[in-house]
Amino acid sequence: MSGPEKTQQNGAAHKKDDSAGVFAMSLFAAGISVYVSLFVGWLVLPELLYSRQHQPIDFNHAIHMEIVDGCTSCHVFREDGTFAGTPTLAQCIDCHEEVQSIEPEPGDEDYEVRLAQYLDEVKFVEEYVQQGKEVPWLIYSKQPDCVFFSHAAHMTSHKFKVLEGGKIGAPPVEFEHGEEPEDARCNMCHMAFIDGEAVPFGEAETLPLYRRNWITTYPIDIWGRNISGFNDHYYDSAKMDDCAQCHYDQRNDHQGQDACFVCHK
Amino acid sequence: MKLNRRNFLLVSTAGAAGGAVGSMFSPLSWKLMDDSSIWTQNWPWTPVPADGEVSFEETTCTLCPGGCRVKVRKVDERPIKLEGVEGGPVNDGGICILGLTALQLLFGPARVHTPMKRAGKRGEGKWVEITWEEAISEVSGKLAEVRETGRAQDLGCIAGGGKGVINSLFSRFMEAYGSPNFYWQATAWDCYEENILRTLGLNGTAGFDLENADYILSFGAGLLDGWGSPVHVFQAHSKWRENHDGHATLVQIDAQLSNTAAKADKWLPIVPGTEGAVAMAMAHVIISKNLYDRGYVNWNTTGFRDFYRTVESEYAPAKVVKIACPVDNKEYRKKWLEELESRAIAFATAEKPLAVAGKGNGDRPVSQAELNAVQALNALVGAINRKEGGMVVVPDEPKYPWKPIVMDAEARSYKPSLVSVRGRSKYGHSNLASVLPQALNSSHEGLKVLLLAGSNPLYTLADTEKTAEALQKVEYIVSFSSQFNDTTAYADIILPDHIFLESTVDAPTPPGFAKPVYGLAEPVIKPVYKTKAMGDSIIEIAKAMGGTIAQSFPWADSAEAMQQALGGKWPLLKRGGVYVDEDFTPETEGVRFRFFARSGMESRISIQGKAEQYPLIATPVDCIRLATGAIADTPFMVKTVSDKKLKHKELVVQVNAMTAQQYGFKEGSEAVLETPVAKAKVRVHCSEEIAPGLVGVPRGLGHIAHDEFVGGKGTNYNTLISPVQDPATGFDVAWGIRAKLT
Repeated sequence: MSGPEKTQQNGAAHKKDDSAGVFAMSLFAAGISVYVSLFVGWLVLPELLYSRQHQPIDFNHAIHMEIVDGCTSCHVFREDGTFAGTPTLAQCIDCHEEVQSIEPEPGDEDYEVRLAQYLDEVKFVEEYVQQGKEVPWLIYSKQPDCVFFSHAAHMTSHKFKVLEGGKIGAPPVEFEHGEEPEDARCNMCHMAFIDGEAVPFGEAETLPLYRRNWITTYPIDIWGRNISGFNDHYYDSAKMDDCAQCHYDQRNDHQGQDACFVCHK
Repeated sequence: MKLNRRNFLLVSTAGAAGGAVGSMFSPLSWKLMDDSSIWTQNWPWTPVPADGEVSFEETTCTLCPGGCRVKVRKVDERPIKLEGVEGGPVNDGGICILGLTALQLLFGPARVHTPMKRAGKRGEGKWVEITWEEAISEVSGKLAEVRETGRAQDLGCIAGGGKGVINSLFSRFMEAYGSPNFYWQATAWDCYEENILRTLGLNGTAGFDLENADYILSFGAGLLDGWGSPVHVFQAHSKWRENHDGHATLVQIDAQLSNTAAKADKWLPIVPGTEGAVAMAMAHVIISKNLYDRGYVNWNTTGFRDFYRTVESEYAPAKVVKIACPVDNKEYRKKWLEELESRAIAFATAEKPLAVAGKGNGDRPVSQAELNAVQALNALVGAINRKEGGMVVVPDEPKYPWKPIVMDAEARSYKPSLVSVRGRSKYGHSNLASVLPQALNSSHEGLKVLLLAGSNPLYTLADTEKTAEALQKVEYIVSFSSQFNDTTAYADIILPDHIFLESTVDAPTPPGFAKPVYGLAEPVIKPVYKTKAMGDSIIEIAKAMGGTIAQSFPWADSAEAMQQALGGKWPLLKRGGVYVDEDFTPETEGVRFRFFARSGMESRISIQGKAEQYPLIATPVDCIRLATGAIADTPFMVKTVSDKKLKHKELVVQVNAMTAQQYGFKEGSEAVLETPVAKAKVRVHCSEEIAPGLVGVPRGLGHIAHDEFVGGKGTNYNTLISPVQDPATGFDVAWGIRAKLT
């Protein structure tokens, strides 16, 4: 009468094997899910969340910086102290009423780059200047309407210190004879990200790819290119926490610069 | 492993748990959470103002005759806000609620965007868009057709007023066309002009140096309810405290505790309509106590003896108290009488006393009898033509130096006007628009074409039903209104005017201002819609008609006509936007004030309705928050009205608590207010701020057109009353109407 007993023993072993299998399978499924969600979160999301757009005209800051005196020559402060932001057509027309550059010949040095620049200028004159239409520039630093930010305060206040390399927590730069170049302050927050490299806008020969968040409609420059939201430099991102970080870092000499009402009046 | 239901669920759960744990370590959930919250800031219906360069441009507000200098804050080309201009001669940085919210008139849903032709029945509100060429050609064609019948008088025009270049262009058009039927609706200031002509023999407007007066007797004038140039008067009210070491006194003699009365040093409640009698009683006190300015009276007045006799025999305070004291109680009457006497004495002994009249916000005419009495008080204390703190006569603008109108036989031939009242002096019959509906309803001929130039008669004239009936009799109505207002519903065609911010408009001396001031409104923004300045439209119509009418309008546009009209002032106005005659001295040589003796109780204006049938009296309540003229309230203004005046869409009337109790009403009760003219559903507000027997009806509500924010809110006071003519001038001087609450 060992039959039923044997059967019983076999049943227990089978059950044990089955539990181990289920456990292994569950572990595998959990592992795969962890992997997939990490993959999606860290690698797929950044690609899907943001658009890829080119500016209507590929403006060359570097060329223009050779003939003007600093950023504020074109990104002007109005008479009442407010910041005008992107230059308007009226400013561009001063020089570009007609096409300025000469069409490069095949075989010229940097032919392809120069041709692209030439065609861009032709496009600018024909589509915008001659038709009196403002260029619909895509603004990298677009902030919500509820944000009050005074460029004038940051550009003129002696309390504002340029920090070494724009690095978070770096010491202030000591400029020779106290002569701080104008773009040093601009570069603390505004840098052009071209091919993964942060380049001062004044030195950029092309405009960065514009990437707009499909949900928020704000450019990637606000959250920053690191999807985790952790950044090394002040110019990496421009969320409220980033403002707060800089205000906190610059607080030592000036108590109260990190208070809420400094910005939220 | 056997894939049964149990195992499948276990593995799936583990997978889901793994996914959940994984997502905690991935930015997915955190980032999407942050993005979703930011997404809520950018819902498409959340208004986000466009960024741009901020600039300010100055102009003159012409929404009322107040003549305030205003500056428009613009972001790029878009106007954002209106503010008062500091140093502006009339308003010095101040602005009223209408001016402040004028951009709602510019962009509001009631704005007429382009010329429109009526498609449905009158009042149905169906319109089709037409071009300006079609509009001008249709109107000029219609006008030519009427004129060819040899009855030029069949054209009528109701303008927004009688002063300024734009109104003059319309009156010139009417003259060149050959019609005498040019009208506007008189206000208290037209009454003052008539009175000045009668008592002083001068052509001019009354100006009051309020800020320098130290004792002001206000006979119902709502100094803080929109009277005169409202911002200027508000500022004068503040200056009384500063200029006289806090001793300036305002006494408000009024039937209700109006805003002005509430802010006054003393409120003397009276029975409405007895203002003249009370003024005469005060004159009695002043003369009998020998407190009048003998020098002024002896040398600068005539008729004092007769006046004195009448006052002595008929206006003893003890007699006046019987009709003017609102409470029939012996003790109250005694106190009231003491108050009247003490205030009369204080007035006469003050250094710079001044008496003012004009009911509420001053856009309702006042009887000549009442003005005679109030002006007599000014004469008794030598306030007439006293430059400091007195009443002065600001002379009328000289006639514009335009070339004479070219008249053909049709224009020259005599035609009787529709309206006719005996004894009129200053403007012929022009400012008697109030009589027009009655004339139209009783006339067999009536009008074939009516131009509505800056007026909204269906709203502003008393007895809306009769006015509507009269408008229905007109074959073709042309409206120049920039808004779909109450009367445009009856129009056949609309030629929409600009708002003052888009237009060149002149602003003559505001009512009650003690110096000649001329303002100019200039375009500070490009026209938002396809509208055209009303002055330009009439010039184009004249040109399209050809002949002598076109010859009478040689200007390219109304700005050119204005330049020629204003002559030497024009360059000054173009430079500074405003011209002030700082060296102005009132004309005193040979000017004598004539006392009129027969006034007061005998000539107290009777209102319509029998006391037996209508035991109460409905009387209007004005307030600075509501506009009562051709320009309607803005949506914002309606929002600021207290629920003691407007509750949801229902008009709230003010009734004394005793009266309410007598008729069985409680606070907030629903009631029907019935007058001999109409009835309306109202709610009752019980208050001690109004005398028993009165029903205070707010004015400025109850538009039937405009947009959802202004139209259909409450009831228009004018629908409830009927006009009562002043025997002296023919103006509608109804100060109320008999009523009952059921």
